[in-house]
Amino acid sequence: MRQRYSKIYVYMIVITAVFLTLYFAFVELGTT
Amino acid sequence: MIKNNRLLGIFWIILFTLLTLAPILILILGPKYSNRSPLLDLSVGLGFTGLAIMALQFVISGRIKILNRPFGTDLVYHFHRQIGIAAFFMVFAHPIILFILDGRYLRLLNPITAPWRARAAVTSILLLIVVVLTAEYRQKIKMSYKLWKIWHGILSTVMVTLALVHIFLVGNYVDLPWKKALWIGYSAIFIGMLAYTRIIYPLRLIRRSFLVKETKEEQGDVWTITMEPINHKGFQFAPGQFAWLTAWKTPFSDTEHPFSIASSVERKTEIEMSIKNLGPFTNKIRTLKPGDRVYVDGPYGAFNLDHFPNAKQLIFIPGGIGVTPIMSMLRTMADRGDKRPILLFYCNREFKTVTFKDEIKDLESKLKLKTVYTIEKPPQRWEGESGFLNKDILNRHIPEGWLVDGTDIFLCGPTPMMNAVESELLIIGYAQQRIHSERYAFN
Repeated sequence: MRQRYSKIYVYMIVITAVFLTLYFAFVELGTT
Repeated sequence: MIKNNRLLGIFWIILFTLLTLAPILILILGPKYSNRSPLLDLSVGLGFTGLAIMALQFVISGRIKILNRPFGTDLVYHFHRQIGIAAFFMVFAHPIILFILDGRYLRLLNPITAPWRARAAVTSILLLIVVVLTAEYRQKIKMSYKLWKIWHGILSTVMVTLALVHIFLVGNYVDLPWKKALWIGYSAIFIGMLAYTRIIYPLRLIRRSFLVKETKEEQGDVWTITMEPINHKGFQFAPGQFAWLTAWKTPFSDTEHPFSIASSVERKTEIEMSIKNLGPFTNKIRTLKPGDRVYVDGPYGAFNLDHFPNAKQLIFIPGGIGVTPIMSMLRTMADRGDKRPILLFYCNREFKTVTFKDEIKDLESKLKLKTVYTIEKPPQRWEGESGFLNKDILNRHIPEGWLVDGTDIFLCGPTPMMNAVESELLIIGYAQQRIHSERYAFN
C-alpha cells in the first residue's frame, strides 16, 4: 500500500535527526 | 506531467528534510558551548527537531495543492500523522532527559514558582499530549470529527506558539543572530500558514463560489448535486479526483467535507457530486436547492485515471458509494470516445439499491465495458456473482491476456473491502504498482 512509502520517509528523517543529535551531543565535545 | 511531479516530489522531500534538520545542523556547525553536558545537548537537539517538525505540520496539513500533487492527499495525511507522532516523542524526550540529568529541573513543573519560560514549556507539552491523544483515540473516546478538527487546530496553534515563546525566553542556543534568524523563520512559516489557511484561502474560496444548479435523487439513498461556478471558470479536475464541499456555512467555518467528483472531466465548468446519506451532513444534502451557494475546494487526490495513459485495458473495482470516482472515469471515457476495454466489478450489499445501474447499462453501449455485479446478499434467483469479491470471481471474468501487462486497476470502497480485494489481486499476480487506491483511514 502506498502509505508505506511515507512511513519509510518518517523513519529516515527520525533516524537521521537522532543520529545528528547524538553526534552534536557526544562527538563534538571540547570545541569552543 | 508525471516526470515533473516526480521532480517536484523530490524537491519537497529534500526541502522538508533540510528544514527539519536545520536546527540540529546549525547546532553542530557551532559554536559549541564547552561547559554544557552532552545530555543537555541531546535534550535540546531533540526538542528543537521535534518543534521544527511541529511548526512544519501547519504546512503539511495546509492543503497546499502544489505540495499534495506529487504524493496524493492521502499520503500527505498519513505522513502528517506519522511524523507528528515522531515529533511528539522527540519533544517529550526533551524534559525527560533534563529530569534525568538533574532532578532540580523538576522544580520547573511547579506553576507557582516556575519562571515564565518553564510555564510556557509545560503548558505546551501538556497541550501536545492532548493533541496527540485526541488525534489517535478520537473514535474511542467518541469525540465528533467536527469538534476534534476545530480543537486540533486551536490547541496545536497555542502549543507551537508557547514552544516558540519558550525557546526565545530561554535564549540559550539561539543567542547568535543567525540561530535566532532560523527560529524567527520557523515562526514566520507557522504564522504565515495560519494566515493563509484561516484567512487568505477561505477568502479565495468565497470569491470563487459555486451555485447549486440541480439536485437529483439516485438509487440507494444517494443525492446528486450539480454545481456551476459563479463568475469564474471553476477548476480543471482529473477523472477520479475529489474536492472539499462546504454548504450552509462559509469556508471560515472549517466544516468542509470531502467528496469524489462524479461528473465527466469533459463537461468543463459544471461539476457533480453524488453523496450517500451516511451522517448528519450527508443527510442534509437533499435539502440543497437550485440557487443555493456552496464552496468547492479542489481538485485533490492521486486517484487519477489520467496518470496512467499507457494502460491498454482497465479494471475498475468500486464498492458501494466508492463508485462515484469510477463514474467520473467512465463518463469521461465515454465523452472522449475512449475505446479501451474496461472490466467493472461493482460490489454492493444488495442489488436493488445499486447506484447508477441504469446509467452503467447505458454506458455499456458507448464504451467497451463489461460489468460484473458482486452482491453480498443477492436476491432470489440471482444468477450473477455473490458474496465478497475474491480471486475466483476475478479469475472467472478477467481475460487471460490481461495479467501479462498493460492492465491498470482502480479500487475504491470501504477500507476492509479494499484491503481484501487488493490481497486477492496480489495473489492472482498483479503488481502492487498497477493497483491504484486512496486510503484515508489511519487504522
